[in-house]
Amino acid sequence: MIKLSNVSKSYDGHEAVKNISLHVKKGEFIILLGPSGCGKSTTLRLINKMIERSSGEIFVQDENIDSIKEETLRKNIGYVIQSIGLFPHMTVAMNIATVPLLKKWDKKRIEERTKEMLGLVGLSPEMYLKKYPHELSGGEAQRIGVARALASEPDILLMDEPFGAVDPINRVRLQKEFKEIQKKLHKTVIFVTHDVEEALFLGDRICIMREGEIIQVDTPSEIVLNPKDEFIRDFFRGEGALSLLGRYNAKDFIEEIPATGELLAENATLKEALSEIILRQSERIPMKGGSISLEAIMEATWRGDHEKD
Amino acid sequence: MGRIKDKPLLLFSLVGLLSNFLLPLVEVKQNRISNGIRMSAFEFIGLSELIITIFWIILIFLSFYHHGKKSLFVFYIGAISMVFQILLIGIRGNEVVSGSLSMRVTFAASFYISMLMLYLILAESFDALKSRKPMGILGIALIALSLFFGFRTGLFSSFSIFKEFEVKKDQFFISLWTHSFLSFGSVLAGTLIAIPLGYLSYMRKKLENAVMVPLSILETIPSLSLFAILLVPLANLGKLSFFKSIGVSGIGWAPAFVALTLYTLLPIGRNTLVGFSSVDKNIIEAAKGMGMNKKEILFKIEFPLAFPLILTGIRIALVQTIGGAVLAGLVGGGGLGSFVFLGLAEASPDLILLGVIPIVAITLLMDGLLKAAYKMLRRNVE
Repeated sequence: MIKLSNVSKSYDGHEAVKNISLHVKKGEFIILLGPSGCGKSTTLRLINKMIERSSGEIFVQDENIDSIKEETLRKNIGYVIQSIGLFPHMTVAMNIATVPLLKKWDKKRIEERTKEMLGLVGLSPEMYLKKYPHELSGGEAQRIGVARALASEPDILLMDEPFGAVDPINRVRLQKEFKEIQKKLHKTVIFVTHDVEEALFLGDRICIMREGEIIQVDTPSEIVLNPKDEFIRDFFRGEGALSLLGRYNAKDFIEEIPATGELLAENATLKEALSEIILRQSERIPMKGGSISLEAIMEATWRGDHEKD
Repeated sequence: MGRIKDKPLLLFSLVGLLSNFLLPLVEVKQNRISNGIRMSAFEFIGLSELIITIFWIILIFLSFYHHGKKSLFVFYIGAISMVFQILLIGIRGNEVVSGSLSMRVTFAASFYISMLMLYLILAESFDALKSRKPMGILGIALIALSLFFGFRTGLFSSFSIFKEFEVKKDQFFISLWTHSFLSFGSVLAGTLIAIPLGYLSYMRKKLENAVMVPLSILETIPSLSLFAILLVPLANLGKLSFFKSIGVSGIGWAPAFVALTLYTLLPIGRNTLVGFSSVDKNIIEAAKGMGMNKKEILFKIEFPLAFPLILTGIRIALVQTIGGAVLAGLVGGGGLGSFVFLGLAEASPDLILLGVIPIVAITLLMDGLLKAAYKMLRRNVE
């Protein structure tokens, strides 16, 4: 779907991106993770030609991006940035309709699509269509930003720290919602973040970058359990393993052994299950259809191949 | 009586009230150049002046209270007081003059101070009306309507400026038209030149000084010098048949038009630059990232967002130009300035007023309209 081969970018002498190659498959959710200044945002912006690369080749849907007009390329790739950049003089409806309007869709189709998009991000069309961006909260604005990026049905979505400016509670909510959306739509997503937990929660694969180079590209569990070097080990030290548990649904690890106490919520993750186990000081907690044990959680983490959607 | 809740209102109404007692309201003259008899409000209007005094006192009292509906009340008391005062002077003036052609009533200090204070009170309480703005607009319409009614029924015929108006009616409307053409025309021309200049200096940061410094220098040239500078080039231009046919020459409307246009370039150009620069770069980045080309970004994003500030520039330029166009009277360009300079030459203050009062009225009207337009535009953007 997206292929970068030997891509470099240098700004007056300084190499921001050094000879990187990356292949993103169709429908894959890939995270570019690394400390600030590692070149992850630059890499993202090279793909939709917001920045011109210095050397190498980039292919989007098997087409060299040099042969596509930049406006055409961008109209077919959804783009979400941290500051969102909603147009303050346009209603929510007009904001969402931006790319469909540029693509000259007919009026009725745009109208339907706008409502559909609002529904998708969990906002009621009646309430929000006519609102202006200054009337929205940070979380609502970011949802509209996502809706706007998805409006023209792009196959690819580039997201540059989209939830970075939202408060922690809303951020987790947005992450969960976005994961649900992705389950429905199966877009090819490249997502830039410096938040380890976010990366482990959302990504199918994580691409770790440092000083303009790619160090490791792997599934979240591989990266946490088998880091390639000290830098990555340090990066995930502490929270890494726990965050990983957030990816697994507790119900996939149910054993048919009864246990007493309050039932764990059906959509709970293994991380929440572990947290309950610690709080209740019991090695086994009940869930509808059986129970979850501490042992099962540990095993799941070590095996690292239980990623189920 | 509690603490003072509305200091401006207290100040304005006190000044208005005191001026009614301490300063002459009008001057009654035998003819346009004789010295008249100065009369205070009570001497001239008589007992009815008590009503006006009561209005002032109500306004003073209101400045000590705070209430949700107060501003509408203040606005209407102010409006009624303003209309009432003018009509009373008109009625009384007609009695005093009693048919004499040359006798006239000229306004004096207390009248101008009262009107200014009432204008300030109206403007301030109008702004505070918020959701009841339509009621305020209705009030303004009622003021205009009753003044127009007074004018049509001859209620103001004793006023000196209407005596002057009666004599110079034809010339007045020609001058008003010329004045409007000079001010609106030059602001339009200036807008068409200055917006591209402002945009250019926004796009090419290196050009900012090259564009803005000359405009600033232009603004500092006194208008009389500018007329002198323009005299020779415009006289030469007037030799070409096309320009000759539209009346371009070293004197007349052309130098006034050119000078006024030049003066509008700085406020409009500078506000265009500031307007474009104030557009959030993230918004432009988002627009670009969604596939808008440069033209679409300019017309759909940058210009609409910069426009309220550009409009403010146009408003400043227009206000400045309507007043500045008086100087056209000096170079034979016509306009209401010709009354002002004729009045100065003939030592007739009434004639000067005939020129000045419409200028003030048009200025206030345009300023108010463009401010309202600005607020409309910003309403959704914050």
